[in-house]
Amino acid sequence: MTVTIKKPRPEVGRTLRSVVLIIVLALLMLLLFAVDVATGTYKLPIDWVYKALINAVVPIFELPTDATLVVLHLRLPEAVSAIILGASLASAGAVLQSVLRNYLASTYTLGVSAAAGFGAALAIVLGFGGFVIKYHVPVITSPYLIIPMAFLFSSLAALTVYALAYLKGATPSVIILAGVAVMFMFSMGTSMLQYFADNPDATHAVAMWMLGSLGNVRLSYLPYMALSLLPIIYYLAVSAKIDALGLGDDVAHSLGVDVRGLRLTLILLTAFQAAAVVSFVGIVGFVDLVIPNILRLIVGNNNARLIITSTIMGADVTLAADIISRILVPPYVIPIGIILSLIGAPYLLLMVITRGGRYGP
Amino acid sequence: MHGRELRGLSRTQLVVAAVLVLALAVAAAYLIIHHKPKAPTSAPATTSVNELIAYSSPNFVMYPVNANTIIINNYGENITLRIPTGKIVAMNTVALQVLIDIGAGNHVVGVEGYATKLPWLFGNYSNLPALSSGMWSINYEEIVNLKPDIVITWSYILPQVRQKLQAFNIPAIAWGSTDNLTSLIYFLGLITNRTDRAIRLINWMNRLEQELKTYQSQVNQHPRTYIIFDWEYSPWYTAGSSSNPYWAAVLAGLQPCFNKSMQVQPESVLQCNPDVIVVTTWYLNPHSLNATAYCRSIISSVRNNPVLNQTAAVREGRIVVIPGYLTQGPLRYITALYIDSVLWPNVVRVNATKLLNQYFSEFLSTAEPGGTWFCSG
Amino acid sequence: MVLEVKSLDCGYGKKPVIRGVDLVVDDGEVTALMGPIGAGKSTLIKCMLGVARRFKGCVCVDGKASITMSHREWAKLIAYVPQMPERPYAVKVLDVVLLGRLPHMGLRPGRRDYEVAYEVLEKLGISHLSNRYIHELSGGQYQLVQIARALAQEPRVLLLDEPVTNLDLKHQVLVLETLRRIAREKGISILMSLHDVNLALKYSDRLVFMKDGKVVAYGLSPSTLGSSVIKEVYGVDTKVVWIDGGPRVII
Repeated sequence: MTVTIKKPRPEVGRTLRSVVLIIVLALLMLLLFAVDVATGTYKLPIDWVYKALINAVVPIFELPTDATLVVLHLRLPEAVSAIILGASLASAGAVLQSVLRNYLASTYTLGVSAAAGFGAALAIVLGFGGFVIKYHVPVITSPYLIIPMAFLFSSLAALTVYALAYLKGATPSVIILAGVAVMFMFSMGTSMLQYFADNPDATHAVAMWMLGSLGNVRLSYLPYMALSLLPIIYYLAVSAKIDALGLGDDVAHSLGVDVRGLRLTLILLTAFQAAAVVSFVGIVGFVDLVIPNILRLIVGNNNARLIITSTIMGADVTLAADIISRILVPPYVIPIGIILSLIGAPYLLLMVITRGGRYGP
Repeated sequence: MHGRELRGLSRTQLVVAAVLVLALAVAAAYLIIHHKPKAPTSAPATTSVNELIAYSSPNFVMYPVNANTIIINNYGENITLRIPTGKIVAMNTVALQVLIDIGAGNHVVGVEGYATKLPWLFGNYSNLPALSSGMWSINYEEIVNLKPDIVITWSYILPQVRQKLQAFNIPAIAWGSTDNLTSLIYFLGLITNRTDRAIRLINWMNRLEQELKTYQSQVNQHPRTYIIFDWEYSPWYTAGSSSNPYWAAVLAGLQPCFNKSMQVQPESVLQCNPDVIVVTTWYLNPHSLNATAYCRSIISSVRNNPVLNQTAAVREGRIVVIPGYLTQGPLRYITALYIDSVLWPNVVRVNATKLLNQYFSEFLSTAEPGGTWFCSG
Repeated sequence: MVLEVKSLDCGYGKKPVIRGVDLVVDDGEVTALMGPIGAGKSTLIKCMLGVARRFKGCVCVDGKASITMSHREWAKLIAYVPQMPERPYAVKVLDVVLLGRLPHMGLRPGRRDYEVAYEVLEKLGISHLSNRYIHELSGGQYQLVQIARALAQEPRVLLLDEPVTNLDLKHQVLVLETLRRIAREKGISILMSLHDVNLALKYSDRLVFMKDGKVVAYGLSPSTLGSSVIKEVYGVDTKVVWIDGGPRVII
C-alpha cells in the first residue's frame, strides 16, 4: 500500500516562526546593548561611545582619554556582563526545569547562589574579623579573594548536590530536595557569619555584595565570566535527549538516553554556569526562573527552541534591567537584582492572567 | 549496556569535573599573581616627620616625601598625594564632617547619601551630589565626572572602589569604624594644608576626653546601661560594640548590659536592671517645631513601657535620648559629656547644648546652633 | 524466534524480585503478560529494557544478548510504552512521535525521520492529530500517540506495561486491535501486560501467567486455557466458555 508523504509544511511553519522570533530577540539585544553603553551620568556625546568601542578594536578616532576610559572600563563591562549574566542564567534555568521536570526549579534552589554568598561572606569576614584579633590590623580582603572563594563554595555546593544525587538516585525529587537543603545550610551559614562577625563594616560589605551589582565587574573578569556560556553549546547538542527526559525516565531510557548520566552532567553544568556568574556579580536570581516560563508560553516546550530563545531573551531582559537601574533615580544606581524582580514577577502574573496557561503559537 | 547502571563516572562527567578543577586552578593562579604591594622604606628628611609618625596608626601610616608630597599606606596600598590636594569626594560622613571642622569643606565635591539627610549639620553640603547610599550601588561615572584627586570612603566598599577607579588613576582611601579618628583628622589636615586647625581639633577632642576621665574618676561609678539602638524600630533591639551609640556610652563611663547588636528578651533587660537607659533616635530634626515634644514623647513612652518601667533607670528618672548622628566622629565626646552631665549634674557642670553650639561656631560652621538635640528625664 | 528470555533473575535492590523467568515471543505475535498485582510483570518489562537490575540470565533478541550491545543499539531493537506516560505541557503530537526516532537520528530529525513519523501516525489513524498539543488529548488518544512514538523507533520488539488499564472500552478495543494489526503487518513481537483476561484471550496469540515473581504458566494459546490456571494465579473460581469460536472466561 502506498503511503502518501505529506509535504513538510507544518514543521517548516513552526521553524520559521521560531527563527523569526530568534532574529527579533537578537536584534533587540543589539539595540539594548547600544542603549546600555550610552546610558550613564558621565557626560558623553553618544557618538563618542561607539567611536570609543570601535577604537578599542581598530584605533581610528581621536578621543579624549577620559571618555575612552569611561566607556571601556565603566560602561562596557557592565553591558557585557549583563549579557553574559542573562544568557547564562536563563539557559541554565531552561535546562534545569526540563531536566528536573519542575517549572519552579532554578539555580537558586540548587543552593549554588547561597553557597557563593557564603564564600564571599567568609572571605569578607575573615578579612575584617580574624585579622583584627590576630594582628590588630584590619586587613580588607582583596576582591581577588572574594571571587575565588565564592566560586569555590558554589562549586562545593554543586558537588554536594551531585554526590547526593549520585548516591541516592538521580531522580528529580532527590535533586530538588538536596538542592534546597544545601541552600538553607549556606544561607544560615551566611547569616551566622554576619552575626558573629560583630563588625559593622563586615556585615555591611556582605550585605552589599549579596545584593548583586554589575558595577563590580572589571574588564579583565569578562573572559572568565564568558566561560559560563560554553555549556550552552552542549545543551543544544543534547536538546533532543532533554526532550526525551520529559517523557519520563523509563521511556527516555528506552530511547537510548543515559538518564542518570545526562541528568547528573546537566545539573553540574547548570550549577557551574550559575557559580561562574554569581561569583563575580553577587546574588542575582529570578532570570533563570521566570524567563524560561515566559518563553514556554510562547514557543512551547521544545528544548532546542527554548534554550536558544531563553539565552537571547535573558540577555535582553538583563540589559533592559541594567538600563533601568541607571536611569530611574540618578545619580543613584539601583542594584540589578531589585530591578529584575520588579520587572519579572508582575509580568509573569500578567501572562498567566491573559493567557490562562494556554501554550504555544 | 545493563552494567552502565552500576558503573562510576561516565566520560562526560569526568570531563566536566576536570573543567571545574581547571577553572579553580586558574582562579587560584590569578589570585597568586596579584598580591598586594609592600610598604616603602621611609625616606625622612623634614622635622614634621615626628608629627607624621605621632599621628599615624594602622591603615593611616603617613610618610613624607618632600615639601608637597606625602605617601599614605592605607588598607594595603601606598598612595602618593600632592599637598595641597584639590577636589575630594567624601563618601564617608565622618570624613566630611572633619573636613568642614578644619575649614577645608571647599575641597569637597561629592558626598554620600546619608549626608544629604542631615542638612541641619552639613548645610549646603547636603546638596552636593550623592554618590552612594546605603545599599545602593555606587555611581562611578558620577565620581569620574567630578574628577576628584582623592576619594574617601568606608572600608567595606574600598576594594570595589579602588578597582573601578584604578583605570582612571583616582586614588581611594577608607576610614573604617576600627580606625583611629585622630589619624584621620591629622591626615585630612595634612593634605589640605590645615594641619594647624587639625591639631586644634585634635587637642579639643583630647581636652574633652581628659574632662571625661577626670569626672568619671571623681564620680567613680560605672552605672549599667541599656542602649536602645533605634527607638523607631523596636525598644528591644540593642546597640552593641559594632555600633556608634555603644561607644558613646562607653566613653561616658557606662557599662552596657549587652555587648552585641541584637534583639534581646525583655526579661534579660530586667535581669540587668540598668541604672540608665540610653535611647538612640535617628529621626530627630533639632530645629523642627516639635523637636522638643518628640524628644519628650520618647521619654514618656519608655516610662510607660510595662517592662522598662520596672528598671532602676525609669524609677530614678534616668532616661537619655540622643540622636544617632551625634555619636560618630568628634561629636561623640560631646554626647558622652551630655550623658555624664545628666547622671551627675553636681560633678559634671557642663551644659552640653552650649558646648555643642561652641563646637558649631568653632568647627562645624555649617551647623545651625540652637534647637533641641537631646533630652533626658 | 525473536525475543527470548532465559533464566532471568531481576529486581531493584539487593535481591531479585523475579526469578528464573523463561519466555519466548515470536515475530508477529502478541503475547499477553498476566498475573496479580505485585507478580513482577512491570519488573520483567523494565528488566528487558535495562532499567531494573539483572542478577542472572539473559535477554536476547535474534540470538544476541543485551549485554553485547550498546544502549543505543538496544534502543533500536526494543521500544517501550509505560502505563501512565508523562505528559509535558506544550508539546505537540508530532514532536512526541519524532522523539521515537532518537536512537536513529543525529542531532536533529532529518527527512527520513519525518517520513517515518508521518507514516506511523497514518498507520494508527491519528495523523489528523499531529499538530495538536498532547495535553489536549484524551487518555486513549495519548496512548495511541505513545504507541506511535514507540513504533517510530522501528523496533523488533514492543513492550507495553498495562496499555489499556486506564481506558474506556472503546479505546481499549481500538488500541488492542491496532496492536495486533501492527504485529502482523510489521512482524514485530509484542509483549504487553494486561489485567482483563477476556481482552487477553481475544487479542493476543499467547498468554503468560506470573505469580510471586515466577512464571506459572507459559505459552498457553488462548484455545488451551483452563480455569485451573486462573484459579491458581488469581485464586478466583471461573468457568471457561466458548463463544464465537474463542474462549471466554466468566466469573
